Amino acid sequence: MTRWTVAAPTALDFDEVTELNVRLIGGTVAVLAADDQEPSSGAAARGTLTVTELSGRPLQVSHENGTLTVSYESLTWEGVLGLLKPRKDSATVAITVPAACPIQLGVLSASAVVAGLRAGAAVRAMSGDITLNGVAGDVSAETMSGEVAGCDLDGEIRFKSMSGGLTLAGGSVDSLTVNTMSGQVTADVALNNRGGGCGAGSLHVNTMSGAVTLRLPADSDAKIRLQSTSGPVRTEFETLRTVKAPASHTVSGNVGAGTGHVSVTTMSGAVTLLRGSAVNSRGDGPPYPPGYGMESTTL
Amino acid sequence: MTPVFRHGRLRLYLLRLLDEEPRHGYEVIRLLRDRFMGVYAPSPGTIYPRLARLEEEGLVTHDEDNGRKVYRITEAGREELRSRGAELNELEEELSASVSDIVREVREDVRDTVRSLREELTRAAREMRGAEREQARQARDTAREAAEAAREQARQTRENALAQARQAREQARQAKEEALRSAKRLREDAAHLRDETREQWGGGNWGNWGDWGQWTGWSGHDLGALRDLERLARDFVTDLRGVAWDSGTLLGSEVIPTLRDILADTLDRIRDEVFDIHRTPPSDGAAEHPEAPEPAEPPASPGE
Repeated sequence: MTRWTVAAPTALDFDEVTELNVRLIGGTVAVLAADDQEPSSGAAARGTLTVTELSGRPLQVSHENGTLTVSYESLTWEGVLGLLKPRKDSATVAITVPAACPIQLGVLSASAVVAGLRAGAAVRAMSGDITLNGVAGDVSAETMSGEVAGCDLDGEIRFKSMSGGLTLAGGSVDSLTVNTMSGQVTADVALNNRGGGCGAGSLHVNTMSGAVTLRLPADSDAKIRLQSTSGPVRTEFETLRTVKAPASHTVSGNVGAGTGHVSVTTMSGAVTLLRGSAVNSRGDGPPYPPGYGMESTTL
Repeated sequence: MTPVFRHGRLRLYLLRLLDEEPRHGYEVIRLLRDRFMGVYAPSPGTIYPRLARLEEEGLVTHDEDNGRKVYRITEAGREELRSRGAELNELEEELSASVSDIVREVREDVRDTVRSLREELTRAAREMRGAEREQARQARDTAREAAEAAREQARQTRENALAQARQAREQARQAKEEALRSAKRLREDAAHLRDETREQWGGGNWGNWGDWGQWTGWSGHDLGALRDLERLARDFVTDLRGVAWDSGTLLGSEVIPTLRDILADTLDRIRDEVFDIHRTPPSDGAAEHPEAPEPAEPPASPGE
């Protein structure tokens, strides 16, 4: 095991990084994927750490059996959301790891940026924002008040927040699960329908008061159920039926073949499901017109 | 992005990398790429000639390892690094800054994308609500128009019905008036006939049927028969009135003389055939009974 105590801006290289753990308090942490290693090179997966700003306590860096850890003394993953006493320790850290390296980031007020990783990422932030770009695999982001912004994510995506909002732009997901109290949820994604049946993509959003705005491609295949206890529910998909009852406003039905699942449940939030343009050209034909798939659902 | 290495800086950085430990050429390339997070990826065509130049200058040397060159810094190279220490520190700072640039770029890029998506979706949702409201408004308008049309139709129907009723009432009124008029005329005609008859019958004391019983010449007739006769006559008048009424062609002045002739003829026939009394047919009326040439006295002339 190799240890460093980093008390000043520095850059470090690591021969082999197969796992990354970072705990920060303030500042910025960015984890970027280095280009995929050339398989022919036969070299071990490498990583770099660049610390550009540092104030407060020094960072503790350790590297053991491919696991790179950047943290402060006595700051654990579990402690990230529980540390109520404000700390002034701040660092600006940029780390590159191989794209296939799974990572775990925990920050308090620091903002976290993750880009290009293919083996998933678990990110927790107290008040800091989380930015995810082109991340695939099992991705989870949890915040109290921090905002989560994601671009082009792919895989099993999970978001959880108290008041922090979530915006997801682009990408196609195997599953997207969002739980928030008051955060706004905005997502423009496609569902992966890998193999249909049990492999179908799913999208589940639960909020208390947060408004939910989703946009799915016009040629999506999903069974859809949108429900709000007191908020309005609207959709551009014409195949869905609206049922209004005293304490629930529900829009449900099938879009396309109905292989995937989309459910949105909210107490008082407004729910809007928009229809985007078709993603799959399915041959050279034009995008399928609205209401495509009614035939297959009625057969 | 600005060029990562200004003139001479890449050469300095290569020396720095080889100062850490001896490296293969491809390892140097990969380190550079990792350090710049993929943004700066020098090609072998850039790196190998530079390593060869450094070797010519005696700053590095190489060993063969399984057919690959492993480059190693020389004492002259270390001397060069030491002499350019300040420049090297500056370079390190710039390189760190360029990493920060990359991070900032990624973050801003994502934030911009996310912000524009939020705006776009918000706008789309608003447009959808607007379209929905517009649709609802149109549906409301259409329904209102339909309701108005229905109301208008109902109103027209009602008016038509009223007009028809009015017309019918008017027609009925006119018919009634006409009927009353014709009844009056009939009554007048009847009165006229009666007067005539009275005159023909000598006028005077024939008004009272009840007195008839006193006449011995009529002793064969009882009051019952007279009443039957009277009823017959009354029924005839009623029937006549009914026929005239039902015919719809109201009695005009040209009908009355015809009727009068027919009635006169009928009376003649009654006189001849029923009561066997011979009397001159009235005036020039078509004499269907040529066997009654002379005027006859009323049958029961009291003076006889």
